[in-house]
Amino acid sequence: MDRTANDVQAIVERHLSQAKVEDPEGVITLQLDPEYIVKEPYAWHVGVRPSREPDRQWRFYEELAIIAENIAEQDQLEVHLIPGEPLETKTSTRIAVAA
Amino acid sequence: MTDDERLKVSAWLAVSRQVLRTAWLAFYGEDFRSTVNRAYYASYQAATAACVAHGDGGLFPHGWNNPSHDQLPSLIRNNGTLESETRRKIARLLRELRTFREDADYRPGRTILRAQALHCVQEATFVLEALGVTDNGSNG
Repeated sequence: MDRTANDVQAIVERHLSQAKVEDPEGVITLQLDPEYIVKEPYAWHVGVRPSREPDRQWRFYEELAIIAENIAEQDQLEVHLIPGEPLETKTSTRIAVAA
Repeated sequence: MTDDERLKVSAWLAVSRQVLRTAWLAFYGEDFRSTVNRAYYASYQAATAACVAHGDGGLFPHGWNNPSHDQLPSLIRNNGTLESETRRKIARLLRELRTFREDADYRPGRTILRAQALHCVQEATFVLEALGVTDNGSNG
């Protein structure tokens, strides 16, 4: 099935809206990076930004893999989700910098 | 399986076993970036062997002996004789290990922690075991 970048964005955003990463400092949400949606020969590469830097990086990456698998199975769309920079810097980091 | 395919499977399995050993050696040597890289490739090579054994070599990119990184999870998920739940788990782990590997290789600003490296090499060990890659050269 031929999909456009807009189709891909809509599908990935739908899955991301249902996803959350449990982290010691609270739940992290995930947001698609609209500037990073690239069609490659066998998959779309899509950037995903966490709401903040995860303490448990492996949980974030595990969630990306689960989402990509769900998209492949439910929407017959191959995506490679690429972790981007957090939307927000950690509070503790900001305090440390200010100090 | 043709003789040529048998040879290819055997070669991929041998490389996969060796690369997983190297991943563990890198881990014990506290080279965590290399651990993550080798853990992914050991899994990739074991999964490639499985694809060739399933007769999926014709689906690889034209002129290639191996699948693209993008197509490997779906090849594993959709083909083969393992239970579907196991194939889905292997596909997920391939995706996860790839993301860690890209951090290790392309994002020098990101630190690879010991716990992350251990997580990756343990997952790679699971992938090889699930695909029946053993130290005696068999592939179940």
